[in-house]
Amino acid sequence: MEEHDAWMQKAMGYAQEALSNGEVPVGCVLVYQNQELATGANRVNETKNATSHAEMVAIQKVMRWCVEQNRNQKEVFREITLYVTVEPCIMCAGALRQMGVPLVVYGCSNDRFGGCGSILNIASDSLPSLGPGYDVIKGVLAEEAVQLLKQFYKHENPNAPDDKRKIKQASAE
Amino acid sequence: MREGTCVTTHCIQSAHIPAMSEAVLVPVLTDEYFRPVELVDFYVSNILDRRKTAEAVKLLSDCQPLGKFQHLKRVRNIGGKDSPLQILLCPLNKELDPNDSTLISDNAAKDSASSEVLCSANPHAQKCVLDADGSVSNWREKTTEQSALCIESFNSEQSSDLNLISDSCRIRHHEKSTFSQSCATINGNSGCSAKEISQHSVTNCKHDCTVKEKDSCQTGCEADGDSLPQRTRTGVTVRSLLQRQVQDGVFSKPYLVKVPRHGPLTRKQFEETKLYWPVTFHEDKRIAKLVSGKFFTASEVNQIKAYLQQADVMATHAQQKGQGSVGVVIVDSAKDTVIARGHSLTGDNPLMHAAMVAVDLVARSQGGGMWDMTDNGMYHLPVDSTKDPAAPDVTTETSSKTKSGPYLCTGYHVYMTEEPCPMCSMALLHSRVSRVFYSQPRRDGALGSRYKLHTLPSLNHHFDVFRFTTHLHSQQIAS
Ligand SMILES: [Zn+2]
Ligand SMILES: [Zn+2]
Repeated sequence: MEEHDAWMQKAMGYAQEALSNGEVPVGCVLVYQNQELATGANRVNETKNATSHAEMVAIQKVMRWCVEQNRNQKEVFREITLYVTVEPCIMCAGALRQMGVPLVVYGCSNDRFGGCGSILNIASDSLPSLGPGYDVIKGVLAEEAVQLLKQFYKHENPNAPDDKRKIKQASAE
Repeated sequence: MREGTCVTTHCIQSAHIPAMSEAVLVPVLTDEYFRPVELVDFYVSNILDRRKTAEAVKLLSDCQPLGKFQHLKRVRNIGGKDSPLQILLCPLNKELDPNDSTLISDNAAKDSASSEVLCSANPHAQKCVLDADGSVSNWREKTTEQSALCIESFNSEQSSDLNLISDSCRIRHHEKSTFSQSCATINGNSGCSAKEISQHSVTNCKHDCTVKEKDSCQTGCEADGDSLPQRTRTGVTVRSLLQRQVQDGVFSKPYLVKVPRHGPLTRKQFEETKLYWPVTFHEDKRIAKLVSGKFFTASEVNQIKAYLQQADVMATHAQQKGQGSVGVVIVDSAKDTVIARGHSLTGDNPLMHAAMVAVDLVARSQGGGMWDMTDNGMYHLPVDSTKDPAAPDVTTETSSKTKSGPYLCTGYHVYMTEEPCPMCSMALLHSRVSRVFYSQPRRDGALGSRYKLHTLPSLNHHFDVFRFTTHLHSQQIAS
């Protein structure tokens, strides 16, 4: 448990960073063999790509690392734990499953897009073409994650044309 | 090699050459537009004194609004001009106990198709509701306690009572539970679908119901504030009102009939639903047009087909390069301009499904982009051209396009050779596309096959999805 809190605290730092860059404050850390292998923060505005979520950014970093280190990508992802401040959305939940990540730990749930139980359960539904499901631990530092999101939505995202990008985040578990 | 596993309806479809009149673009809608009529038990009385009809309707609507049965007309004429009128009272067991011999008609119950289920209903229901003597004071509080008691006693009853729960409960408890379902279930009894009634006798409707199923039904009931008896300003409950009406000879003793659970959403459903009970129907013009098969003109269909064929060419290229054989084209529908044309690159990166590639190509057309893409067979509109101020902007979606030019894929149409997976479907949703056309369904696809992501009410953006049902390859196109 303490281990989960410690890693999540790190993820929270990256969420904070995203907030100061005007992005949705979601941060994550990919832990491999008890080491921080990659981190991610939302980069949607910067990349003009709505799929640049923290998880996707971090996954991409691990892919690059595997190429540089000449490591087998599949084997590396099989030993990764994701710590993310907000429940992964349906897209990221699908990406994590296809990469074979076995464990996802998240903070607060995502009542709009959540793919690990809130809206759909991509983590454990029977989806044979996406590979086996993964385990999910939720509610780690949920309150902190909610606070960051609240801070963000107090000042609307200036890059969105209207307020539709709002993700109303659920309160802590 | 495809992305994931493909459902190969491909061969079946190509063997079948559809007539010109057959819809080639099928809208992917939620199941509720296609569901058959589902029936539930509802208490009715015959109106014995027809002059009092208007008054009775008013009194009843005041103390017992139809709520989730708003689609039902309160009164129906069973036969000709002089035949009795039936008036809807309340859903099964809302307040009236089937074992309440002082109020519920035995004779009428025997005539009713559902009466056997009703009469054999579990005894504990009687135990917990019979105390409710209809007295006006503290009715609400009392009944709250009683329903809690009822649930408790239901839990502790032996399993034979559970046998009374009809099969339809098991089927439906996955759906959003409506009041009548959940409450009917507490009484060990629930409605049957129209099909069940026509196929089986009522007793055949009874099946085992596991404890787990029962629990979920109860949760639905407890969570539903509407399940408590309504008490009006005047403090009249439906039960006390009925007692008076029956005594005064205005109403017959209540008995059960089967009524449609849901209001009709399409004309077809309306025609079917009104066979069971008169219903109101407000046709949704857009849905009507969508299901009519005439949503697109012939030239629009040809245009859609042409874009899908472009996507198909990309899929062929991908296959030749050893990538996932899925192609995609993204079009700014207002300007009829191709913004991005690409295909799956899963050979390079397992997440670079066709839609993910295309969304990133659009980002590149706006000076962004996130993935490493080495394949030079991809196309996107050059960066400057999307900001062309001379281009007329006649789209109705201009409101979303602010001063800074296009935002993500807002208003764009996506043409894919294969249904997107959950990840890709959500990527398209995040990107705010307005329409998705695809040709082949795929296993675990999220726009029709496994999920219908675009119809989930909680998501903040929605788009239309159409499946192209005829073959794409040019040599196989008749015209
Ligand atoms: Zn995400
Ligand atoms: Zn996909």
